[in-house]
Amino acid sequence: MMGSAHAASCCGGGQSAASLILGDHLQEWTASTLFRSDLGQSNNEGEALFDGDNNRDHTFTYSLEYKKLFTERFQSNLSVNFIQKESKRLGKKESNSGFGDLGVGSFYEAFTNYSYSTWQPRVFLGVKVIVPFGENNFNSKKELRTDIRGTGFYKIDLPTVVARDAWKFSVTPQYLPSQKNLSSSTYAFATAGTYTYAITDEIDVSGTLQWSYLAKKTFNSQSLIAGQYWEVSLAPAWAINDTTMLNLNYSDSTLLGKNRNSALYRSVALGMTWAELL
Amino acid sequence: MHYFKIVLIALIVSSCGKPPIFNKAEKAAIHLYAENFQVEKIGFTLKWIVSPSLDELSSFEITLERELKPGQTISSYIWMPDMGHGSSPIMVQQISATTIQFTELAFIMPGLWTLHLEINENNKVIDQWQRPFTL
Repeated sequence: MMGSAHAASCCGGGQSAASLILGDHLQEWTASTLFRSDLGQSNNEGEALFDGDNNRDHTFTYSLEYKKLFTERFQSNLSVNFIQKESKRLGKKESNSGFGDLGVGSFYEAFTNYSYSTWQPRVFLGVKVIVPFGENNFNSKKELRTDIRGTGFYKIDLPTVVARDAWKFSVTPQYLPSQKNLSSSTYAFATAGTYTYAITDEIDVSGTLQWSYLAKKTFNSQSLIAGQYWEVSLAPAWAINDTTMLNLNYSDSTLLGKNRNSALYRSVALGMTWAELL
Repeated sequence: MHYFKIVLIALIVSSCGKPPIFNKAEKAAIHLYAENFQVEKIGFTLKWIVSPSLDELSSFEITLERELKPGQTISSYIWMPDMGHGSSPIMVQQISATTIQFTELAFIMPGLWTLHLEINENNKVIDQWQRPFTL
């Protein structure tokens, strides 16, 4: 039972590792709801510019993710989400809703734990394609920019996940090809480490530290300069039984520095995972 | 599993730098005094009627040293140079021959903004002025 709780991670934090089946599951369905509050921006000097107390930028994300193990070493995942954004400032209120990014990916377990080793971790090599359904920074048509849902650009992620016992570590280079509203290709990079502590056989809690870098983006004469941010996440999970897990996740980008040219936010997510055992 | 601990400690250490929650920017007061359009050689003073704010629409007016030439107009826009976007159009109202008021400036998020003024003639920008400030 202990393996079940942290085998099914979800709801943000850890990024690539969250799309991976690590336990003895043939397939997993995860439904989750996330609430995010944007508190301001960090400037290029790493200083925080917090928004006024009377203003608000709230995002509600409803996600559905499906993961399936096709062979002992090969698995795929698909995620869809629906996003509602609400913004209130300058005496105006604006809201918008629609589909967010569609994600389709696969992992191959390059190094397994089939033979006993005191040190060798499991290593997964992955690829994930992100298809945007919302607008981006350059083509937003709403005054308070509530039509920006997700990345806003086509993107290819190449995650490598290393897992051993209670530890997970991921490195994800990301490629954004030149496309409509992006004059030249650019890239991003993310790395994350997660430690999961088993409180009981059914309950565990995971802590994740993630660093992300977003390179400069240009479109005609407009440019979005490079940015970076740190995110801290805490995620308790409860294995209700062998096939059902409840997950909670809190993420915060204001606790660890240095953040440059990136949003300052806090989010809470609640999710349920149903799994079919092997 | 020592290598995992080393990696996690390395990640934590490499986050050196003040966390945003303890590193709030000091928002400098916005002072704008006598200014100039360099090409057309027109001086002007700029006065904020409602200072730039994230909480309400802002407005300002400029008083030119002399009238614009026939066929010339002035327009204005605000832009976030680091974010690659601006905001909704600014309303322009001629108060007198040399005083023009600009209203409904919508600063939609905190960050670095630039205020732009342009002199237009025959649908072309012939002179411009800009100043950055942080909200």
